[in-house]
Amino acid sequence: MDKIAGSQGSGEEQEWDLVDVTKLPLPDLLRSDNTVLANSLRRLLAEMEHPEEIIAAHGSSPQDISRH
Amino acid sequence: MTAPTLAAHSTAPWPYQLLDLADLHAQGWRPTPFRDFVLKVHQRCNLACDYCYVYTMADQSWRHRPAMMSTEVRDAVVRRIAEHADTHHLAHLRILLHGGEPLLAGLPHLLSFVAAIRTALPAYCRAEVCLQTNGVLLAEETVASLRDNSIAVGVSLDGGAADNDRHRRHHDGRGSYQAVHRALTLLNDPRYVSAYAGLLCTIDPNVDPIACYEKLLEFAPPTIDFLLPHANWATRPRLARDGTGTPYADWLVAAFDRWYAAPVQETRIRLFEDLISLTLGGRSRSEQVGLSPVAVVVVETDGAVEQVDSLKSAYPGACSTGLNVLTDPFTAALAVPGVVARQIGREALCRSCLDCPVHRICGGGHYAHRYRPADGFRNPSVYCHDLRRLVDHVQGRVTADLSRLPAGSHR
Repeated sequence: MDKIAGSQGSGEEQEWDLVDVTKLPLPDLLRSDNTVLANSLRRLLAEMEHPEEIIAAHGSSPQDISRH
Repeated sequence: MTAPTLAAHSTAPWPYQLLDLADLHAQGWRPTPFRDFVLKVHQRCNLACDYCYVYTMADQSWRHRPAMMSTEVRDAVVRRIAEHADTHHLAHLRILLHGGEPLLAGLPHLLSFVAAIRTALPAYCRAEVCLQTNGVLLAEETVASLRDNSIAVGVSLDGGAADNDRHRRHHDGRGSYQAVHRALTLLNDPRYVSAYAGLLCTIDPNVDPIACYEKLLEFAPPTIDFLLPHANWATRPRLARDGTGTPYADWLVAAFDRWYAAPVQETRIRLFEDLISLTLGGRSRSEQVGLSPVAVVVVETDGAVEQVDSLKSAYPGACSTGLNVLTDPFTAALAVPGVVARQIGREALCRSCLDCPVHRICGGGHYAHRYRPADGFRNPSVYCHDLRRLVDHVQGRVTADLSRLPAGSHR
């Protein structure tokens, strides 16, 4: 995903337990009901520069991102 | 061009004396252009809310400013916003009509102001316009006109009648709930719902969070903003006398759990969405949490270009840039230390924040809440304990849910 502007993109080690969304079962999540968590993931993917690469790798469609 | 004055900022050594702008530029840092223009279209208010940072806290500059913008100031605002969009090739910006109570300016005035701004913008730039109101003056004709002019309406409401009217009262002591109820009923009418932006709720730890959230839900808001009351190390939050309790986190955690566990998402809550997004490695969209650059600028009724007005809670003149739309482009404000400090992410955090494992999520909290008279804004938030508890809770819920997924994998 695109780096956050400012010094957030410094490349330094993340200190907190960052979730790796590329390893999540996205098709199941994005096809699930209209939950807070599924919608949060849709928004996250929508903000990425190339979400289609992650989506395609999981067999989902771009429409799954824009459901919410 | 007027040089920004630092005189008002002598009580904030950081950033005004200690932030090295030359060094930042030498390291390659560049400012983020303003994208949110908060226009103080009326300086007075028809309510007297007891926590209002404009009228009840440190900065009392409203007393000395004109009630409304003059034609000269208004024309300069239009010209300067268009100039900023053109200079920085902005494809999108937001205009927030604010006050005081913006509807006191009169609807014809507001509509012509917005039309003038939209007309002046470059063809490639789209302006999203919102009006933040207490709702008391929202008559049906007003709502219809705002809808017809693509102006969204955000309304402040702190819960049910008793809870709301404890703080949000008229000058004569009458509560505002009934009037706001009428306004929100109108905004829920199918004819007008397209103009409904959402609700803004300042939390009171004495209020039941579930009852408050469910009362707000009755008005079907597209979005809810839960705000912490403005406070700092000189003016402490209510109910946090010893600094060890977390009454605000307790409130927010209860509200989060109620919202998060719903089988179908009932509304959007920006603070919670930001925390989830940051937990997942994304960004924040508000200035309450996260380290995204703040790109908000305020214009007062006298044309003064100011920093976010929540800083009025810190000290007199805390919002000042020394600039005015009559003489200065908005770009000049991008060099003001107080503005720069909001755009440099973790560089603006103090040592104890940088040593904290969740600093990239909480972002040090709201900038206004970090103020301490002795040294300025490079401090932990006065809500630090509350923020840590809230961040830990949100992170725990989200990562636990993700780890339970069949193919879930996260480190």
